[in-house]
Amino acid sequence: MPTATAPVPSRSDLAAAALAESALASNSAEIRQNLHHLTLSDARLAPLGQDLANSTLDDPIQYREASKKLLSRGSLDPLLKRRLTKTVDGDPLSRADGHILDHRHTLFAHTFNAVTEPLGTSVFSGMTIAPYKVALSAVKWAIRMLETDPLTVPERQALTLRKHFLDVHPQAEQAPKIRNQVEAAQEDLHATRRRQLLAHAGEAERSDQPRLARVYAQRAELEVPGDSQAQTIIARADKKIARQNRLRGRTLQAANATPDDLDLPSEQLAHAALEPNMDAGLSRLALHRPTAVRRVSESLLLPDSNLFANARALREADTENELGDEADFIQAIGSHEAGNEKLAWRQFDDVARRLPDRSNMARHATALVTDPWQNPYGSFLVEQSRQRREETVWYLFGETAVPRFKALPQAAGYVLATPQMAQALATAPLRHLMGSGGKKPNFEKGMSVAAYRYLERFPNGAYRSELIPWLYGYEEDQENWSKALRLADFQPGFDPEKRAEIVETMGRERLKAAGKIRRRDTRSHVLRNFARDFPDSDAGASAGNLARTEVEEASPQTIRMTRGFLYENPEIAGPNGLGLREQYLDEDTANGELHPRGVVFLGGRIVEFDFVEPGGDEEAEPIRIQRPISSERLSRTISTLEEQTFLNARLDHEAEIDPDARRDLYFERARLGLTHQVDHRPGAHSNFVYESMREKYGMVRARESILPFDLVLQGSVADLSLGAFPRWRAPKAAPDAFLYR
Amino acid sequence: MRNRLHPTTGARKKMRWIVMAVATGATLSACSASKQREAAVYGPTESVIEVIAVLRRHVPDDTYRFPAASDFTKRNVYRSTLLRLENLEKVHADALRAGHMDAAVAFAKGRSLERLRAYDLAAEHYRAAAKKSPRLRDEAVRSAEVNERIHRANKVGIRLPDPLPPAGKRDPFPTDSDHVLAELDDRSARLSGLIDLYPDSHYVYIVREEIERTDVVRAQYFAAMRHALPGGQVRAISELQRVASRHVSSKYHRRHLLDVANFYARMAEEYTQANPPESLRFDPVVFQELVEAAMQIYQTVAAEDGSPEKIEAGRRLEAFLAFTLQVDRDRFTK
Repeated sequence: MPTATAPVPSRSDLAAAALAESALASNSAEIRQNLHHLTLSDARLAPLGQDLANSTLDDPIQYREASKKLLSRGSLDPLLKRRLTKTVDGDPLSRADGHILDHRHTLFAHTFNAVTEPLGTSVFSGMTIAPYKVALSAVKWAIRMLETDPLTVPERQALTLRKHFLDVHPQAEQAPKIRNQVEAAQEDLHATRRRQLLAHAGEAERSDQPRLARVYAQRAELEVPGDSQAQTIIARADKKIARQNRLRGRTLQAANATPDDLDLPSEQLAHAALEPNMDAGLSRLALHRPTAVRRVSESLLLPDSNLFANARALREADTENELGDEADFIQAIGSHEAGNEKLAWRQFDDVARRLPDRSNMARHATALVTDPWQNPYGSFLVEQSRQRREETVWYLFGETAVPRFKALPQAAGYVLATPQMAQALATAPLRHLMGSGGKKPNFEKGMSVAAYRYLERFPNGAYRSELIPWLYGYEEDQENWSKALRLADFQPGFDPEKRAEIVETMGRERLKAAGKIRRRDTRSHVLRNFARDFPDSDAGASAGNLARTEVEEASPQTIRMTRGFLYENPEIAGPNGLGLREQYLDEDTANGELHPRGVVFLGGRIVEFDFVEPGGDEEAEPIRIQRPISSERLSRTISTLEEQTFLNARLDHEAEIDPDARRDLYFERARLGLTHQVDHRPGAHSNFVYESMREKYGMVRARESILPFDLVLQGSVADLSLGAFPRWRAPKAAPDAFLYR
Repeated sequence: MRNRLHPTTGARKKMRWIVMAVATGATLSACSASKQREAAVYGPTESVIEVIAVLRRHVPDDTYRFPAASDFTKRNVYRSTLLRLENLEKVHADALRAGHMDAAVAFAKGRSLERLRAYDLAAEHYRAAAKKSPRLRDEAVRSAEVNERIHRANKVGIRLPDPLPPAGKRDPFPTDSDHVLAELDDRSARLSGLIDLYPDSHYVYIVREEIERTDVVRAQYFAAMRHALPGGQVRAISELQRVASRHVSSKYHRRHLLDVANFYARMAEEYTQANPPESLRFDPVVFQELVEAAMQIYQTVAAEDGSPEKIEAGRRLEAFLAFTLQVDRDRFTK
């Protein structure tokens, strides 16, 4: 209820209130009348009033038209101008056209660069190679054009916007035209998806996954019914799947002989009892089972059976050496169980190398030898040879990659990469001498996985003493200090000084990482753990101190406004906000000045004011004064702060404040005066900082060049080229482009 | 040799010119920025008009079919309006104390609150606006009534339980599914009645959203109770499909489809837990049906451009395919 001291509203205030009410009630006659009154009482308010009247049009198209008209009047205040401009620019059809323009612009940029780059890099290297470079660039350009999807991402964005327009305005004047555009684009979208799915199907085929290839090809056929390429892939995949099924069926085949048959002399069992398509040799072996074989088979299944004796018995019973590989296999198992790991894998490897049609144990031995979990050391050796191979290729050819195309066969990639590979090969020594070969990839990752797997599987295995030092060296190279320390502890006689050095290095890393953890409870936990695990190290002591400081200085919130921010937004520090004395923000340290850290909301009603110390040293630690302020003042300060930041964001998009739900939750509660219940949950803590524009962007903000291209000076050791050329800037991808890929 | 720390007079002059030019440029740009800022500082009346204009433009929006608009802070426009009106009431408390804007502010808050599902609060604000302004009375009273009826309707039947309720406030689902169904049908009927009463107002969209939520509650009830009710699995899947088919034009249609796919995926996982693929109980045909149903829906949603559900469906499909890799290939053929 108005109090006696309430200021009397002016005529324009009353007219504005009346207009607002009639707009909310959607009474058009009253809107016209009140707008007229408002314009007569305060011409300055007329554009805002007109916009309010326009907002009752209830049709986005009409509102945009009305906003355009209002904008064309000129002399609008900057906030209204920006808002209306944004409204007009938000037209989905204009935005769709903008995306189409972006698509064309990108094509132009690629074409332009395809000409200027080879010419520019040929000038200094001698124009004699220019034709070659231009030709190569033309081929690359042609491939790029071929590779461009029938409907590119910007075009897909345009399609979605046009569809949205049709959803909202199905009866609009432009609807028939837009409908045609949508239909045409929809066909291209199907073609694009078909192409992407076929590319996936091709990859699946190359990696010998016919079932996956079939799924992708079937989906491609759904996009473009009757597509011949998809059908070909399906047919090929079907063939492969059928072959796999045949082979799998064969692995499951067995003799039909029953256990009783095994007691009979082998000659009495007819060959007809076996599967018709089974290998004749194997059939004979399967049937030729004397009683001794049965005894060995049973004995193998018993606990504590003597595998070596069984292998020997099998050999003795098998006068024709038909069961020799079974005996060898049993022998290898025996060696493995006896702890003779090296010998066992040599024996398994020996069986695995036999011809599968001569030995029915070869496939079992191969499965064991190639299984990375059964034979982790073997897997380590395989990874080692792969690593050597890949490292050599990297040394010789650098980062030259063979391109993969969606529209062209793989051979085209090799053809295109050949000149680059030749250049890279010729300049390899120079490249490595100058250290310009780029960062060396981690080729040993596979080896480390196999080595860890080995240690996990065989903690006391024969290769432990070889693998632990190797892993230590690997982790040290990768700067994984905690892993290196663990591996060092597994090595007897490890240098204690080196160990202490690792602990300190690891501690420094851990402290750095802890500093980046947002939640104070997690941060404190990490610090406490480190201090407890390494109490004798300097890093451990630092971690302990930090953990203590965390506890001592913990506050439910740490939302800070820097002094620079308060300089730029004096309203927040003024009587409508914190109510700070002017002298604390007059850039004169003699009469008391806020420290550059500024003011911190600590949660509840507590606010910390940081002041420069009496000596005036701004670099020194501030004098911190923590005071509770009244709920009303806190609530008003936060409202003023938010309104100021909204205002700044509308005037300058770079002044936009990053979202922070925890900060907003605290503000919301403070605005409602609910600060008596302090939210102590660590997850509710915000450490948001309001900074001035200068603190954010420095003295001079980076601006984008007004030229549509960049001037590039390019030199390459790989192909010994040097050149300068203009590179046309393609438009940046829209922020939501990831939703269209 | 020239001393770099003490340049010659000519060099000094040059430097002075440069410093002056930079200073002049900076002053001019600062002046123009501060002028712009001054022009942009709104008084209480301008601020309220601005906020109401932004809100009024979005009052007729169909928030059932399309997502709610966002303002320059990228916040939901209705939430942003509410926050800004509250800020303005604090910042311009003195100027607004006369109460000339009270009715408009209260009504605008009502319009915002009803889009944020705070129907009881919205009704209170409408009642307050109706008392203060004869101009707004009719519309405010009507809006208050609609909001109260929606609020009353929403109180009928069960609600989706909070997965992390405050201690001692756990409210388990009732097991009498017929009763639950009858109540939810009653809620839907009450809400549908409002559409017939106000067919040309923006309340049609608000009420449709509430009906959609009621359908979701119903489906989620059966999904949660599927092990406790006879034929629970089939009922749950049919209820989830019912939501997807009844709300094809909803902005949440893709989300409803994802719910169906997720349910199939969850059933496939539960099936493998109950019947490990290597066990003799595992039936590849049953598993295959669950997998195909989930994959087909994921693929459909993943093909929809421009929505976050596209990403979610794509990633879930990948995750689900990874899960199926655990099943031996002689027990499951993709």
